[in-house]
Amino acid sequence: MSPLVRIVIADDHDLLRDGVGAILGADPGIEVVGEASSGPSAVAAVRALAPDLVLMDVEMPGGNGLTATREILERCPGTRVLVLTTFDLDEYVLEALRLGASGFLLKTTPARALVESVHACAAGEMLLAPTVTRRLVESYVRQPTPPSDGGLPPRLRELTERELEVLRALTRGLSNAEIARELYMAETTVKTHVTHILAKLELRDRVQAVIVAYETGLVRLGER
Amino acid sequence: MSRPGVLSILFTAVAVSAVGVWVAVDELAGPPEFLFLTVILLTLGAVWRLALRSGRQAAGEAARASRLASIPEAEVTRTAVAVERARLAGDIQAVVRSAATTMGAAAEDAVRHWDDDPAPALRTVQDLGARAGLELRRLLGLLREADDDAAAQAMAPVIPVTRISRRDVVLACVATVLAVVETVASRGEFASGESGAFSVLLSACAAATVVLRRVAPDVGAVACGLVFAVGIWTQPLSSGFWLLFTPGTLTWAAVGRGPRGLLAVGVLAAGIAVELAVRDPDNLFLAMLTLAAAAVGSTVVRIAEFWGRSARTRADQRAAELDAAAGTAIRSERLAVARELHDLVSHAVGVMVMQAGAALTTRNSDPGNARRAVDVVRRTAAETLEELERLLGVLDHGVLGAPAVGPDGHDVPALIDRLRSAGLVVRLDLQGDLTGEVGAVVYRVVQEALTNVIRHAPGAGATVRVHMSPTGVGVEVVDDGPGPGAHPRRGYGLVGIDERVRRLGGEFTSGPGPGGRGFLVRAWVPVLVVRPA
Repeated sequence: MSPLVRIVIADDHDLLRDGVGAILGADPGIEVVGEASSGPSAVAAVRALAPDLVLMDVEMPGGNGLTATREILERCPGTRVLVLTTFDLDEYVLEALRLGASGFLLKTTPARALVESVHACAAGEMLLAPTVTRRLVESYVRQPTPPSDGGLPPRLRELTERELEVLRALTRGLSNAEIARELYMAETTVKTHVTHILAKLELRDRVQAVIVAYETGLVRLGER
Repeated sequence: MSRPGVLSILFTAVAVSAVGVWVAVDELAGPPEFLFLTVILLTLGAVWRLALRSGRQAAGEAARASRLASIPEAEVTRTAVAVERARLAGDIQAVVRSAATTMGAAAEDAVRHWDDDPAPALRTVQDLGARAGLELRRLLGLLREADDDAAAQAMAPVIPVTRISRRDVVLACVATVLAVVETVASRGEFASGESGAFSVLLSACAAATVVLRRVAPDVGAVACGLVFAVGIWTQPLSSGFWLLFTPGTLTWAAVGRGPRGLLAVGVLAAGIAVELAVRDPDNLFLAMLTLAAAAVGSTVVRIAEFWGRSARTRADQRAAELDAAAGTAIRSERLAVARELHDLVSHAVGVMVMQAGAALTTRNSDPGNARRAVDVVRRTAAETLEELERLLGVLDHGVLGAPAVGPDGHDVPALIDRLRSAGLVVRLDLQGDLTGEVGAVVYRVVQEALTNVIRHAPGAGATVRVHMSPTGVGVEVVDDGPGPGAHPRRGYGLVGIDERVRRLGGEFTSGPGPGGRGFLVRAWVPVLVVRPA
């Protein structure tokens, strides 16, 4: 049994927040420790409660969901932000992912998938579909600058050969199990590699690792 | 028959009869001269026509380019956006309406089966919501992928011909056979012994150089000229059609290959000129005329083609620019529509999905709460349909459908007219002339505020006041509805407006109207926009 995931829900819309709260609260592995109806109150709640995860509506009035996301990610290293949104790939969602959010959830996600996503995110295993990654990267890393000497980007030089392979697989949106199959290693080994990659690159999530891979030109758009 | 067709026939007739008359009058001329001159004149006519046609095509391309250049980008984007909006508004409305209807029905179903098993109905609510969300995202173009891969296939560059084609070989064979036949036939024209087997060989070689007309016309021209030079000291080359055909074709092609080609044409012309001057002076003039005609004709056609090509490139570039501008405008417009519909959609679909999920997960642990959640779904469905009903007029009258690109203060009265025809009672108090970015913001403020009146205060009347001062423009929209009590949440649209006004250094407030009645939206935008550097 995975440890209890403590979450805060930030959404200015009461009925939606209630619904999400009821769904997540009913799961024995999740504890809804707080709710917030605005960006600033979300920041306050997170600072006071130090949850594992915040479900953040980035479309709250005033755009303060984004501001709150930035503050939380800067000040509360132990908390992940999972974006709640009506339309994925909206510029707010992209901005939130850029700021370091771990992923996003549509407001039309059915209850079971919602619970699963929260667990996956809390475990640092949230995945973005390759199309989403593509759009995300397209939107701001238009031309990744490959290193001029043809070698590895400086930021990635600390990674081992095996870790680079895992990172490349991550950019294709593969899960740990899929990576394990493809690279002929145990799933736990993949997990260890991912942990090392995140630690070496000082990242919180695999989503962010994918972004770095694109940003540094390790993989490029259109490459599979 | 087309006009050029008639002209060609006329030209042919005149040319043939002129040659006929000349041959009849001149005692020295006979059928061979008649045939020869006719062919030459017709060839010249064909060259002339070719030049004319390329000129006309080039002029057409140039006209297209200048027409495209004169279309203002703003107009294109404006039209594209208007079309897109009209399409989107209708489609989105249909999706939300169908989602609200079916989800509401599923919630009713869940209530009916509450005591045995409401789970399937509740799952249906979720599935319908997810599907509606997917559909909306598709409509807004957020799900497109790989759409710009096609654009990567740019124009294929012109690849120079590197292989001798079968056509060239056939052509060279024809020229060679013609040369051999004509050499053999015209032996009598030279003093006996002067022209022999070597003449045939030389003529055949010279004629055969046409095989290089596309691969390397310059090399072909030089080779041909050299063969003629050999003829000066050995045996004469024969005159005939081939003599016009091969050098004419090579000249035509070589002229287009830059200085090297021109030099090659010089060598060719010199070779032929000297050979003919020495051996066959009668044909010198005609041969030189042919080369000159080929050179001039080719130059004219090439200039026309170049002109046409560059005009086409210009036109294509401009068309692509306009396309791109329209595409960008449409994409940002979709996002704008997504924002405008955000309240409606996330209120409706999101809430229904989440509450259905809540009912599903808590129905055993907390039946009372679960039952309340289902009621929220039913109520939300009903409210959404009502709101759509109220918005129907607005959507149909293009208020939500008004373009985001380009509207400015001048469009405010038109907007008010549209709203009036949608059934809203509006008083407008507008003095002065609104333009530019400030005007556009005022338009947005009025649009958002009045749309909200229709949404949240059905039946209420509204007053719009726009007053200008030297320092800025103030806009105020107030309605006589029940006020914000019923809807404490500020709509997403107003937030967007707030951000926009503040970006321009203005001020924005919204809240209860005077005396706590109605709803008041007030904005002030400075006229002189000073942007931070």
